[in-house]
Amino acid sequence: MSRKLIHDTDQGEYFVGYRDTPKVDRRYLLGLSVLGLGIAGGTGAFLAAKQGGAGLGRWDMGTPVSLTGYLSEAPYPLLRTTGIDGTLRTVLLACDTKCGAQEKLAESRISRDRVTVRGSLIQRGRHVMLAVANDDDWIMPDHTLPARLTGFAEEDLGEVTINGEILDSKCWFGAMRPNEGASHKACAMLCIAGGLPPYFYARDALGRSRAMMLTDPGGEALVQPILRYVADPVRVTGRVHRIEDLLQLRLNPDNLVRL
Amino acid sequence: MAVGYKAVIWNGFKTSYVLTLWAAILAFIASFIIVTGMTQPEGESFHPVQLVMRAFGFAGFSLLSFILIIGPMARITPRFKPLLYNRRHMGVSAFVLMLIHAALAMVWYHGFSDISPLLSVLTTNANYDRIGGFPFESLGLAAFLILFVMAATSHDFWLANLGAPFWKALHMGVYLAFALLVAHILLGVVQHEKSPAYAFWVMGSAALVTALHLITGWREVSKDRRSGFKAEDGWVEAGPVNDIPNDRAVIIPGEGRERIAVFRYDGQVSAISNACKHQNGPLGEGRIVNGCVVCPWHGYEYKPRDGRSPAPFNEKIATYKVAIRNGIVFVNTKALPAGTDVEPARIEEAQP
Repeated sequence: MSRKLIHDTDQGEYFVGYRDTPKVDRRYLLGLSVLGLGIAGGTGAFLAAKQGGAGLGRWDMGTPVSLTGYLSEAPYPLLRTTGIDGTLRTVLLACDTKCGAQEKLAESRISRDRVTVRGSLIQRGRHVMLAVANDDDWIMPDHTLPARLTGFAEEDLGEVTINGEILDSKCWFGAMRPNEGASHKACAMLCIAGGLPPYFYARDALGRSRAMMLTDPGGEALVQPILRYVADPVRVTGRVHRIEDLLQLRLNPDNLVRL
Repeated sequence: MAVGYKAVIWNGFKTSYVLTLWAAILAFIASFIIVTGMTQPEGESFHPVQLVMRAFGFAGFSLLSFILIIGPMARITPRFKPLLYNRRHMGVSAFVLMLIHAALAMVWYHGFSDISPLLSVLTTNANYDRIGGFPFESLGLAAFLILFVMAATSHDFWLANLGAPFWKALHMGVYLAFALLVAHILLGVVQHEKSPAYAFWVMGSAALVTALHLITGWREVSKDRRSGFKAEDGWVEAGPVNDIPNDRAVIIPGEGRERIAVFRYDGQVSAISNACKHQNGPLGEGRIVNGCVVCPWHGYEYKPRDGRSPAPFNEKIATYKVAIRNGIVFVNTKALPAGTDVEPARIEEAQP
């Protein structure tokens, strides 16, 4: 009976870690090191190049801004102001972490209709949010603004059935990049449970996208029934309302279907 | 081998090894960050925290995959043995990369809210009953805990005090951690990234690790099947003595899962356990240097006739009775107590 040794090619010097490395191993290791550096750099570059876009949007934390406008507290705290570009724009209000501005508003004891608020802007295209300053003077009454005698223009645009994803507005506006998909699910759930407005993000086959604030059928805040669907591909049926420049998708959560 | 314990016993080889390792890690991370900046669509960019989080996570998984192919590759070619010798440095480095990834993920995705980040990882997303939207973070956390225990005990102090069998079993947990990480990535970032490159990268790594283990395992099983013909009274035939090169061994199956290394040296033959006391390294793939069997993995030494490490070391392994008849080596597969002195079978006496 004959038997091959497992290392039948191992006819040269024998490597022992605490002794001098044999020449053959030194040469091999040198080649392997060069190859290893190349493979490591190449793999990093390959994986980086294959990533999708991280998303648009920015949170300019280093530039404090003050905005004067009309405050609304429902369904989520927001400010209607001309301070962004001269036209009447909706600016959502958030705290500086994973919460809406509801608690901070409750703590302030000021006249609530016309105010100046301070914070930093989170912007993605025409979507704007203000992460309000973390101090007591973040909101001040401002009666230099004329009182509004009429409500804001609201229009029912009809019923739609669309596919898309439920996201939290703050991350999607630019606080985080990337801000969609499975990796972001738990974060978005925390944000929405913390009072940040949920948004529905839909993109069609041509790459056109639309993001709308999600509310219940009465236009009120919608949180618990949608939490488990956050960041999953879903189909929704609801009515779209336009209030000035803000689109709302008013949704009966029973009509949510996971795809 | 050492009598006392030091955190790391540095030598020139080990220093070069670790420097090269970290140069490769930095090459991976730097190229990932630079190329991400160059290839993102117009107007889009990663948040720096999320970019670093990805870079360290991907680097950690890639390194762990490489670590797991070193063992089988060292069975295929002895040129991989130097990589195996300091594998624990790679293991601890992979853990450090994953620690940074995990810490950033915990703070970034699960911090800044009313509940603790650890609780959030386990409870915020409770969709454990579905693949779509599965809380993949919990898989990463489980893998991280296994790797933490391994990194914390990755030292000969723990090997000696926990005992080799327990320590070895503990460190076999790396395969469970690897499987959990494969699932973590497949249910996490692969669900978001549209390019199939990520699925290929993860599944390709898993397939390579699995295939190499299966190939080397199959080679050993088929060798065992071809060898060790039964004689009588526990004696088995180990083959012609002339088939064993000087200062080398053949490996034959013993009782149960035991394997026996049969060494030829100085005109004689001795048989010892094939499992090194240190980390179960395959002694039969080693050589005799200066009269001692030297383990191919970490250089632990044993005298072939009594299975004892030379003084001042005190490791000892099982020995076996050997005989040579008509140029054929016979071994009694009944293991003698570790460190038992056995008279070697003399080749010149047996072969007139």
